[in-house]
Amino acid sequence: MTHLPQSRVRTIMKTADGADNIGKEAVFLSTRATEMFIKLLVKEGYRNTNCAKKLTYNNLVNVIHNTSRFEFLEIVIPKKITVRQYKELIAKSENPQRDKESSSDERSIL
Amino acid sequence: MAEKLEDLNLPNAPVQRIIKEILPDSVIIGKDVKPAVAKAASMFILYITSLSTQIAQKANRKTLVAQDIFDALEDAEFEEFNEPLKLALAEFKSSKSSKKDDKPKNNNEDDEEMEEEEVNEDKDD
Repeated sequence: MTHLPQSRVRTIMKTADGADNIGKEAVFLSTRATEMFIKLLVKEGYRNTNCAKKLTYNNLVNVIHNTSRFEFLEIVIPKKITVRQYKELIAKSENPQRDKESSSDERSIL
Repeated sequence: MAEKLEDLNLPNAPVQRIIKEILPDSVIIGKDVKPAVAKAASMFILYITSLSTQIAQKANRKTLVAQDIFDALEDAEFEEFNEPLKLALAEFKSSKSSKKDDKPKNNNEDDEEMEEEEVNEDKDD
């Protein structure tokens, strides 16, 4: 009936705020919809490879960050950054004061 | 209820099967792709559930019903899912009324093969 286990989907659904009572049909439909969603995301990701031999994380990122209906995924599927970029971001968020003094140009980024 | 943290993730095997099903056989799947897709799928469930909860609350209902999911999918711009889902729901209802319990019995399944690729191979789960 479904590829994904409905019991697990129901468990995940229950963690949403206010979702205490969930009808069986709603669980079934959510499960099927999630399967369709996975197919859609992978299909779009593959289209992003231009029919290459390999589907990568970055293909998914490109699709997610360029499609309005995938916007809700931007936090869970972030763009990958280098360690250096990461350290710069951390340094900035820890020392916003020093940053402001050192260069006023960088404020535009924040 | 979710007792362990991994209860909030979808199991890998079926997610992987769905990914493989949609891709041409020759395509290699990058190693970060599967966990990312699984995470995206969990997020999708939460997203649709919160939208449908809001819809149900507006209608003063405490229980999420099928129509809430359809409306939520439309709000989320996944309305193209709704037609195939309506067909699936009709099948789901008829299978529910013919079998009292929803535990699948593997021996008596051959009288009515569900559409396309519904043949379950549960051995590798």
